[in-house]
Amino acid sequence: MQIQYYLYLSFILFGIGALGVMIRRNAIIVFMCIEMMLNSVNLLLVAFSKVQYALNAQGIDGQIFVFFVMVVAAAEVTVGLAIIVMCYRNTRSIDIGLMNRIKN
Amino acid sequence: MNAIIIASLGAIILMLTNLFFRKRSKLLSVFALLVVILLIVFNTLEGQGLLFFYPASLNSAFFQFSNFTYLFNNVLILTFLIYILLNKNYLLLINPDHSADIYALLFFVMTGCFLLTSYNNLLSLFLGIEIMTIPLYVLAGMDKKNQKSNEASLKYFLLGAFSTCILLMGITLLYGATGSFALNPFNTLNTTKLLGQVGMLFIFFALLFKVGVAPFHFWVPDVYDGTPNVFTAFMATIVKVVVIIALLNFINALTPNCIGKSYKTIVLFVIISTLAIGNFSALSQPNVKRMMAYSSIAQAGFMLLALYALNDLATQGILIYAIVYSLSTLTIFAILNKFSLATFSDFNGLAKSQPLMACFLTVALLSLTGIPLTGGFFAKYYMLSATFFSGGKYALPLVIICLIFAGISAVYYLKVIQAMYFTTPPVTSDHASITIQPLATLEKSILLLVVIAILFLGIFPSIVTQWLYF
Amino acid sequence: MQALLLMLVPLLPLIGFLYLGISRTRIGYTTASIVACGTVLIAFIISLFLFFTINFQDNTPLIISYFPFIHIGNINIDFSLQYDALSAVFLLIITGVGFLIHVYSTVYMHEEPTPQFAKYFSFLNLFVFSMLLLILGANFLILFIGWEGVGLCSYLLIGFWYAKTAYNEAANKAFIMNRVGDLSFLLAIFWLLLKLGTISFVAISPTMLSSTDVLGITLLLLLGATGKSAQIPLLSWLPDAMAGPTPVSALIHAATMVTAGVYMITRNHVLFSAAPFTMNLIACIGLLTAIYAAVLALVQNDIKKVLAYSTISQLGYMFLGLGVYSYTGAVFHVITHAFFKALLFLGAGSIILSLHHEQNIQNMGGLKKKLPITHICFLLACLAISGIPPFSGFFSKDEILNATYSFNPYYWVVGVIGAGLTAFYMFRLYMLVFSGSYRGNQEGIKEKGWVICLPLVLLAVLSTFGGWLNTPSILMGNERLAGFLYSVLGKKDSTVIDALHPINQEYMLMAISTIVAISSMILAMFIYSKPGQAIAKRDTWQKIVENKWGMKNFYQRTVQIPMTLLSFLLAQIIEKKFLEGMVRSVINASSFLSRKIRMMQNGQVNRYIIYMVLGIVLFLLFWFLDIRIYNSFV
Repeated sequence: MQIQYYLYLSFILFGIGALGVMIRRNAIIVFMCIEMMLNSVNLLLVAFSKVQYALNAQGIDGQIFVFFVMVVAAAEVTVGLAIIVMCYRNTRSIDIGLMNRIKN
Repeated sequence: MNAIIIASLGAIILMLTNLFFRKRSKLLSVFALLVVILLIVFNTLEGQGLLFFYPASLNSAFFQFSNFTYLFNNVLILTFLIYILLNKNYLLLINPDHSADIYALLFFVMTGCFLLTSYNNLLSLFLGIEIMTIPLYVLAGMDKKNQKSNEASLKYFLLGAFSTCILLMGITLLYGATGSFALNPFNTLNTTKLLGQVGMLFIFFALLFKVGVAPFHFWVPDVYDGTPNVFTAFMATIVKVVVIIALLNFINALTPNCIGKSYKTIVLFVIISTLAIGNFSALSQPNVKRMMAYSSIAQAGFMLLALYALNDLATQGILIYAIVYSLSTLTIFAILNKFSLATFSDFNGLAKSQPLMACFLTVALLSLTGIPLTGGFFAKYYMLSATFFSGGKYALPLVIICLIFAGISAVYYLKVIQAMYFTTPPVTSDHASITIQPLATLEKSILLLVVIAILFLGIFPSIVTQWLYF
Repeated sequence: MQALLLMLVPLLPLIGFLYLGISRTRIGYTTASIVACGTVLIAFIISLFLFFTINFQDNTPLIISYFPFIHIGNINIDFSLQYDALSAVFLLIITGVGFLIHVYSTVYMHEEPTPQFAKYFSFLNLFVFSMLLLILGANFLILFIGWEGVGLCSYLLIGFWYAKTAYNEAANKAFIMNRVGDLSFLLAIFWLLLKLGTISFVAISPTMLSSTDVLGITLLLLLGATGKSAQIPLLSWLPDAMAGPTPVSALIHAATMVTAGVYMITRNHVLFSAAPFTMNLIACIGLLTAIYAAVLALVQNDIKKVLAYSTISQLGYMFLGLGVYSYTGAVFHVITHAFFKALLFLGAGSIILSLHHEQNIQNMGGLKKKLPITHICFLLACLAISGIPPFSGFFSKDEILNATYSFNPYYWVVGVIGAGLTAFYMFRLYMLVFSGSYRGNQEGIKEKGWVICLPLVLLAVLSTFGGWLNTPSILMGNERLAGFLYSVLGKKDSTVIDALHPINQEYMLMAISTIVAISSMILAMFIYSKPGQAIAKRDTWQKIVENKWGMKNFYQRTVQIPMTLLSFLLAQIIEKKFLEGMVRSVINASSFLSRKIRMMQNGQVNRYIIYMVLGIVLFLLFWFLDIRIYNSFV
């Protein structure tokens, strides 16, 4: 099994996500980028799990971990969206570039 | 183990409570205190070998319990107890409709903390971090109508989620390199495995982010500043200290072989830049709360010396440091609660108007400065001597730099003391500008105990460290 | 029994501090005074008891461990106190002089409202506690705790009258300068701990250390001592510290705390003796400071500033004594200095109090008749500090100068010049304050009662006859102090010196320094005699222009103008520009850095993430590329 392709794909997704977090100012998009990074990790986990299975027939760990990541991601989504909505209600904007009432 | 179970059960019950007992807010504090006392009792008993909920061997694939774990859990629980006692009125005020939820979230955070002190597996590390931080995102934004609180919450969430991604990537890469999530098989990991190395570093960086040290400290001032006072006190003490312990456990689990040789250089850089950024930024802050945010960055820099030293002395030192730092910070925040605004000039003449409050604050600040006869002195002393004895040619310069920064920190801590004792209160035409509430009796007595504890640790520091060996 | 008594000595003032601190709003003047003075008095009595009951002649000091402080691996640091001849001497000075100053303070501070009054005494008691801890500690850690404690108390007491911001700045300056010294002190402790695994005084011996270690440790300790004892380069805090109440200046900034550096070096004389370079440096620092401060004292117009510079100068002599291996001489000078400097400050306090807080000596004069007791005591103290025989200062200063001569004659010449300057500025002060006619405009000046006068008289007796403690053998003395300190300081150092130069020479040295002192005393009395009020009213420069004729003019040209110029140079250029400039530039640099660093915190989440990613990338690059640095860590 050619693990490196999965690695490349996952790194590319992770990189795109990180880049998005760095340059986008819309909170929802930043959040989506973070989700993309999480999913790239999931992909990599599954791939590694498969490699482990091929090596010594015990690769279930990684796949179970993916479920945990998903559950946690779901929790994060709930909390995150709630926070974004709360901000939107108060300021009518979700531009994180404008969020600099606290600084220095 | 019992601590984790009880804390999570308590959290769940409190969460449900909100459905039925919305208006019975007095009972909430009582229930929370009850759970905390249960936590102490069961954790101590478990430390003595009496198990209740977990019959099998404690040291499983997921958790590992040692004397240090139990001792540290007890420290956390006691700190939490003090925290609740000092802040219980303010916890109810933040968001009266959701006070039960607030307690529930706090207990979830505590669950995460207990996971982090005892994890033996990257999965439990990940879960611990997440269980700890997700409620914190909510707590940071608990003051819903306050835009600063909103902003703190959103910033904390975005940056925190980003660091979670880094953590996960690190865990995944380590898994790819070792084929397991357990901490022990790292022995097989050596410096040649690129993936494993990157993974380890990613986990390290993500945890550094959660501690809030340079160059991952950017969230700290903004989040601490925007978050309601009560939760800042919580984040700056219990949460920060726990993550440092988690980090220490993580590094200790790695053999020197896989830590790599430039680990110390990186830690060195992190410590020095943290101290520089924390102290220099704190110097020119007009607001005491924000000054405390930066000072907590600087104090975290001192705690990271344990990561540099990695010896027994550092373990003892971090314990004392954690206790003293938490107690002092809690004292300061409990007093900050009483201020509507906390610029330096608001403290003018506090010694006259509120002598007791000024006295408590002075001890706490002196302790953070590291003046002898307060616990802070020994905390710093332990950390510095641990560093000094760890050897390596950068140990001595590091100690000198730390001492210099400790000296600089005296300037901004003393600024508060000076304002309290050496300036007269401004002659205001009874403006609303100075609204300092007096301390309640309960708070007074708790703070008195805390201050005595700080002073006690300044005289008998070995009392605490001896518990490590029982 | 001894253990309990010894513990009680520092414990009593601590109890006093706690009691006064906690109940300061509830107690009156009487209770506060009784508690504060009583604790110190009992401590003094215990010290006396210990002094007379313990045999000091055996070489093992009394060391009592109370409880373990730090136990890690093979490092054991106990909370232990050490009582030997050296501690005994300092103990008596601190509790004795401390008690007198406490008593004096009860009147001096009586104008304060009660809580302030009690607060003052609680700080004073805390100070005595810290100082006793410093003296009694059997290892460096205890000493350091006391060391920091006295610094803190000094800070608190300098800033006691906080209404004036200048006082605040003085307090800050003192604290920060002391921190610099403390920092190097702490490093020396770590160094010792690393090399020896112990920091108790009895276990430290230079034979177990390499010469570089000894040099490094002693240099660091020396820097610590210069901070506490106000020597070059860390001296400018002491004159500013005069902002505090006068009894505080007497107790902390003259009699006790500032001698902590001398004590510490004497305590570790074994270590210091093994580092000749450091010793030479100590002597040079002492000499330079002595001259520097004496010159500055010539032109001060604030009575307390004159005394402050004179303190620095005398401390310089003590350091000179240490540097030339005359530990006994240094300790002897500490003792006599404690007597006469406390007396001078208390006398000054009495004057200041009588004149309703007037401190400018240009506005005094003619107080001889109005304050007779203060006048006599002050005169005795002036004679003592100037080194006029047979007053105490003569003997101690002479012992140091004698030792200096055999160490290096050039040092001796400078030292004698300094002694001349001392006599000159002290009698300038005396003449301006007491002789002539009164130049101020206060009415009804009189002594402030026996509580003020009694400590003055007692201290005057001590200052006069204190020399009896260690009269040199050539003057039919029996060198009691040297014999007493024998068990701590080992062989009597002066005997070595005696062997080096004949007795005749010793007489001659003594005579020269006496003549120098007396002649500069007379010179000062002459210059500042009658027309004092006329000169004194005007600025020094005007003075010089106006008095063109006469002998006075000659003296002024030869003595005053160069001295004024020199003082001006020292005060303006070195002190203001250089030392203050250093402090200021550090402050400026840090506030600049502070602003720059705060700029990074601009509130933008994107920017934060970019910084973090940059950090990660840099660390990763470092980790994988920089193989060379790897080798430094094993």
